[in-house]
Amino acid sequence: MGKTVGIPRCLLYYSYFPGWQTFFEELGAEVVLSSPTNKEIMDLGIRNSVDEICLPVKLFFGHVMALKDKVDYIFVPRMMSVQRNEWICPKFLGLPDMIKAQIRELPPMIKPDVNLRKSRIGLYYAAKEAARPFTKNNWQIMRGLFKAFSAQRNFDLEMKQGKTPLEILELQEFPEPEPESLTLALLGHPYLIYESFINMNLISRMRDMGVRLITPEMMPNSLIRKNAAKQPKNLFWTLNKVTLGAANYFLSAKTVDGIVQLASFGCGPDALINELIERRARREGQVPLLAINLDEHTGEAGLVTRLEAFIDMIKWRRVTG
Amino acid sequence: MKRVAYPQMGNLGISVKSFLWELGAEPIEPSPISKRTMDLGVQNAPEFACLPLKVNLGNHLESIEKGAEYLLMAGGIGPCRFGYYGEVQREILQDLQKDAEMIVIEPNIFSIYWSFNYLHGGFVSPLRLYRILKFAMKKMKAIDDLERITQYLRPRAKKPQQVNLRYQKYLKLLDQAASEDRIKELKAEGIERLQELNNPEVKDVVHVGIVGEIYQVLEPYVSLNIEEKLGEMGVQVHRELFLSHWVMDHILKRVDRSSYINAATPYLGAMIGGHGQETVGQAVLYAREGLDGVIQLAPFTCMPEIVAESILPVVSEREQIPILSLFFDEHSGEAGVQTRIEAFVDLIKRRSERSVLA
Ligand code: SF4
Ligand code: SF4
Repeated sequence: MGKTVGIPRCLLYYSYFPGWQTFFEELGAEVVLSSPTNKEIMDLGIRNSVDEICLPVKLFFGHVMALKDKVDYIFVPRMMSVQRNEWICPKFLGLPDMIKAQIRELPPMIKPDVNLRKSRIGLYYAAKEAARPFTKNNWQIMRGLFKAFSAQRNFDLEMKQGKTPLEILELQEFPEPEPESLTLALLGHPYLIYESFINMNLISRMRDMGVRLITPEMMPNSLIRKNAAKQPKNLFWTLNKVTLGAANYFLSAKTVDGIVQLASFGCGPDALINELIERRARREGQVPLLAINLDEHTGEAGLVTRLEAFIDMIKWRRVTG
Repeated sequence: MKRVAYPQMGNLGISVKSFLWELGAEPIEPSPISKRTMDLGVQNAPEFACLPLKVNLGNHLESIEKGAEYLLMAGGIGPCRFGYYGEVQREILQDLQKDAEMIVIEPNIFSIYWSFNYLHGGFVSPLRLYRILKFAMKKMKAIDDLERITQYLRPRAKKPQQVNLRYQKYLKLLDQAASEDRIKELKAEGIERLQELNNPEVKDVVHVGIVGEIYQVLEPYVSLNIEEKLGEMGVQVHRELFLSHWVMDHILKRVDRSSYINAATPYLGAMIGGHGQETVGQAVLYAREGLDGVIQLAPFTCMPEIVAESILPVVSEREQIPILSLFFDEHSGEAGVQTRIEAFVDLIKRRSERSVLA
């Protein structure tokens, strides 16, 4: 039996899990996931982090707490940059340090610096660091990295074909949308739009209503980049650049009936970039946009009412339009 | 002449103003930050934007009322939000149908040089630019020197209020100073006049280091004059963050960062944007230098400072120094801050008495 590596089921889990899992398994480790976010995990997170921090990072604390006594190692990468000249967010830059400072009795952390800001070679160093507890064999690391790449590529391709991580990673099933159904874009950080506990099952709720959903992960990267570049100054946050690019595209191409945009309470980049998107939508007044701010107190009833009202409004526009 | 406004941040305006004059633009001084400035900013800015963005926006709106045609902002390339302030503010102003043009100076030599030429409205030779900048920098340094002495004297003067008044007086004089000689003269005179207020009988001064986000640290209005308040309580305030230091560090790249980076590394192993790593590293250094306490100042929702806040409790425990984190927003009230710092100062005073007895 190999050593176990705990991976918190939150934050970039929704973006990179297949790659991470394959990599560790190739090195002979066993990957253990925390359970999907639930009330207990959220409360653990809230109790073990500072008040001011954003909800997704609070959840990360909760998942680490839930995992820490069950695994030999815990995976807390310092995801600094995954694109040239871009960043994720200052909080990702300090994540392992915050975890170390706030949580006692942690198993050893696997905390590679993932920094592709200057060059892709950063990934190799990160892999080497992540592999340290298991092997120093360069060949094995390279092979692990290669397999991880291909697992990740398959995952990305599946998403491009219209599947969400919920269907791929969590094996959820949704009804097929009807031909005449509404099409909505769902925008936001992957760890908000696919985090069913926090967004009150938004995706399955909308799919059950028969809505066809498009998320940025389903769109071609080049399309997103091209449309993000409409903003005069290049945006330096990767995740928000994706949201901005997708929003710019839909606002001008008008290929969707509406946009639902999620933000997390306490998120620094969202506070600025979602504002830009909302302003643009209002200025142009063509594509309706529903902005939802999620925090730990978001009530299910309120959210459902707003969503239904939004969808009714769009249907009504369709009829009268 | 272009009518150019710039946001208010501590004493930055004095140097920017003289810089703009020399460059041949007409500076529009921001009105001192007031309740109205804050309200204007808060009403028009995104709700969860950080406080500096809101106050800057308030400054812009008031300056436009005073006839500003151009608004000067600094840029950045992340990871912090500051680098995108200009973009967001420009769109907000556009929606408000204000037609002032925003000039964002990005932190690279081309952008800096281009912006200065643009402000001047023609070609400025690098040599001339160098002279203008050098002059503005001299002013900035003189002001910072006086401020350091003020920090030293507040807890040591019979009437701390007098120290503040004299300091303010010399700020005004420096604002008008038109030659390097005059700056030198005023600085020497200011130091002397301030030092007269020293009361050698005062002995029990405690020492507190201030760390945190630059705007919150340098702009007394948003931090509710915390340094003056501490001075009145018998605290000598220490800080590394001064404008001239910032310019030396970020623009001229002449500051050796290794000391605070080394001190921070066991606690925070990466640069995280803003002043996050400085905050942690400097807190460690202050503890090792034997200061009695550290206060962190930051705007509500400030990303790097939240990361630092998460880490400071461990610094406090291991380096054996009390640390107080204060986050501010537009609702922060005098009374709340006063009580919290009083309690903190009481704590460190009792602690330092204990160590003297032991
Ligand atoms: S991007 Fe926003 S939500 Fe994500 S970690 Fe940073 S502040 Fe939190
Ligand atoms: S350092 Fe803090 S206050 Fe300054 S821009 Fe960044 S998040 Fe905002």
